[in-house]
Amino acid sequence: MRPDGSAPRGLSPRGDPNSLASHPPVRRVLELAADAPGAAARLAAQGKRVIGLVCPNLPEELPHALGLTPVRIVVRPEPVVRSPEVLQTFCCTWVQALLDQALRGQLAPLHGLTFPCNTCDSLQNLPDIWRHTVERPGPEALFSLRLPVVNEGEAALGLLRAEIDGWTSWLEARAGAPLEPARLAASARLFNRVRAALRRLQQLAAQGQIGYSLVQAAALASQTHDRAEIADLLDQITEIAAVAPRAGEARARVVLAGGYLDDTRLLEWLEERDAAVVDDDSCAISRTFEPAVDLDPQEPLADLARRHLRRSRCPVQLGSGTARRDTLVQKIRRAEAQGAILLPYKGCEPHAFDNVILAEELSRLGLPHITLEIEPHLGSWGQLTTRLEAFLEMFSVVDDDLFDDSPPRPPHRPHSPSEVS
Amino acid sequence: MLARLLRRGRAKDNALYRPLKSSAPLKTLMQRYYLVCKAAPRLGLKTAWLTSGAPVELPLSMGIIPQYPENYGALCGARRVGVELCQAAEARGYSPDLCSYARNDIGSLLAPDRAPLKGLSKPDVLIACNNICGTVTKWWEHLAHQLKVPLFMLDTPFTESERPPHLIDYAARQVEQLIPFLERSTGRRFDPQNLRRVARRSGETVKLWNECLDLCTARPSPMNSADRFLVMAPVVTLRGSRMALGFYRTLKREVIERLERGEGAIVASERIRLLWDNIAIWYDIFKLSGRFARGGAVFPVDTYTSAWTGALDISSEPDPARAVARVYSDIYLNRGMETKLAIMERMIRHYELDGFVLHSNRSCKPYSLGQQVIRRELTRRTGKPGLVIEADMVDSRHYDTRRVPDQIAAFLEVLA
Repeated sequence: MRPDGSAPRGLSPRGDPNSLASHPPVRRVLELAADAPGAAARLAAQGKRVIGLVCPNLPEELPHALGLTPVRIVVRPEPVVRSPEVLQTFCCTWVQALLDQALRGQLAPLHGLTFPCNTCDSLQNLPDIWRHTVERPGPEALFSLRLPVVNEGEAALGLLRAEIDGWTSWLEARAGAPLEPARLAASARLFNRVRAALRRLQQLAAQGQIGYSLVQAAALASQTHDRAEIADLLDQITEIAAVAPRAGEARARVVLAGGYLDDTRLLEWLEERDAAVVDDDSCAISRTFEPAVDLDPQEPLADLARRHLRRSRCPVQLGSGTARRDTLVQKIRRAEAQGAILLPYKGCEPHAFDNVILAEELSRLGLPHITLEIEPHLGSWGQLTTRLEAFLEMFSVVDDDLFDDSPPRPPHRPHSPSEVS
Repeated sequence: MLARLLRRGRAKDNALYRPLKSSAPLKTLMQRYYLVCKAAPRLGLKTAWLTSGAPVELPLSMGIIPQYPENYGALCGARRVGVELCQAAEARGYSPDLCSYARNDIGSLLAPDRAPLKGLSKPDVLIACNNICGTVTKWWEHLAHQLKVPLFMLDTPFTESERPPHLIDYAARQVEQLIPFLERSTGRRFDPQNLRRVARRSGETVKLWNECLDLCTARPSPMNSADRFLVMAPVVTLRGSRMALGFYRTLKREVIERLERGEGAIVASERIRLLWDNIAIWYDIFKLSGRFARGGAVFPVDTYTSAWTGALDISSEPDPARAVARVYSDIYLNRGMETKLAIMERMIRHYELDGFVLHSNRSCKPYSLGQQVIRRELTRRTGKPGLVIEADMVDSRHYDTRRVPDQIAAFLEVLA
């Protein structure tokens, strides 16, 4: 506890027996998140037939319902060594890291791998390069699922239905069994339970009861680990977090927007400096667990397609710049945030385009913001934190506590995301 | 502008080239075209901006004048103002890692005083098709945002192998929506008879273009890549128009005359025949060709200008939307590596080539990613060596003018 009676922000200080991190379910989720890059290999070693997913926009219920284990691929925090032999350095840094990992045999244990297709040019070209350069998983274990660039209309729904049908056939072949509607319904319930728990954690973070780094860690673990165990862990964590004391007023309240933030260090670093992330629009966190899926037993695959069309726009899609701009501003207002941290991925064209529109709007509204180009596992950590320090200074030109002996301010209690339409 | 470009390049390398006489009618045609585009708003004419792979026949049949930011980007690159325009976009927050056609185009909107012709005239509508890359989806979203004009996006998903029927259905359903979109946005009426006429002319134009390209199988080759990069302009921008059709009849006659006289595109004796892959390096187009020509090397074929060889035939198709969907879905860049390799292998054999040059173009990922694999595979399948040149089509900051000549010299030595 701090002098004002509020709790420390996030999980720090580490090792504090009273901190949230001392609870076994939280510890377990943090361990799983830290191990996300090694999850596929670990689960395969346990005898699971792992289907790697290169994007959160793929209906992960399907492989799960077939007894396969869907795992979102998180690249390892290692320097790229092999991929420059076959891939130019102007390619997206995440794609370089992914191919590098494959060339080094680190993805060989995968039973299959599914790419999103019709998205960005780097990802679109990757499977072809893979077929010629990576031994395992080999060509028969790769699938490209085409997604529409416009998430609306009957034509888009028709495309998605056909593509999901095709993916189902491929997955059935990988599983050696046909898809059973009852099992798909059970998988959908399980995934919805995980999504609901993540949304609840997000609300608790907005209220200051947990740090957003825990939401990020839970989202990472939820995409890379056994979903049944994760669902139980998240239910326990939401119970613990619901009665956790709220943190005091933050030095700064910010919303994150950007690419695949695969490392929790950034949020932990912010929390250690008493800055609160209160919401996000990123490929690694909130976009992974929205919205729930409601399956009609008569045509469950069509409902998976409909869920995709209800998702918020991915940066590769048409109109995402203005849609994400509106979402970001809405999130900032709803959470009473003071600014935003924009995290486009280095070499990612869709994010680079969207970022221009996001930054312009934030400037127009007079909201402090910073753009940090990130690389897999945050890349140049020193430069990143130096720039972030400068950004945080904008929110604390004068340290009130040094001069002000008035009573401590009450903890900030913003509306939770669900309270405001 | 085009004439100046032709003169500049040719004057310096007259000793190496045999200029095409068709340059004169090309100059007239393109000048008239740009004049009409610039005057369109004042004349009350409707214009559309299109991506290079969009179905131009539809707007053309409705009397909507097409304009092409990519073609304009090529002109800016060739006039060496591309870097300045790219920098104007970068100053606004656009990453230097983005496609230079996109940055050049956005830069010309932000800094029209620095842009040739002060930029393209403002369109009434935007028509984009992602059959050439995913970048256009975002680039054109930004154009719509900045210009505040309606955008139609024709989504033609990439396919690595055979195109399944549902992808044609998907594209066809969208093509059906394009007509009411254009009617709504421009007030122009769609007439199926006009579309048939335009499609027939487009098909004939593309057929003539194909024939001109195929005549380059001759030894010596009557056209070099630099020739084709310039004379391709009408087939990209105006296919379906009478002007374009007339131009390619003229061009074909000239190419045949060259063949009859046994004249090649380069003055030096043709000793080495090469394949060019990727978009031209617009700011170095003649110097680069000259470096090869000095060593007796010519490019009888390239994957870039061959991309506009799919003829639209709606006469035999009961559903014209499906015909449009099929032709525009199946272009070179929208196909997987195996298809590209098969096309390049066929080119090497059909044109009896000695090697190939791959332009690793940091602005065009669909063309460039995978080239290391392509180089290896193509050499394995054909026994011909390949060279990779690193550059950018418009942004010359990514072009090493010291290294590239050395690379070329070494490559030609190997082939000699």
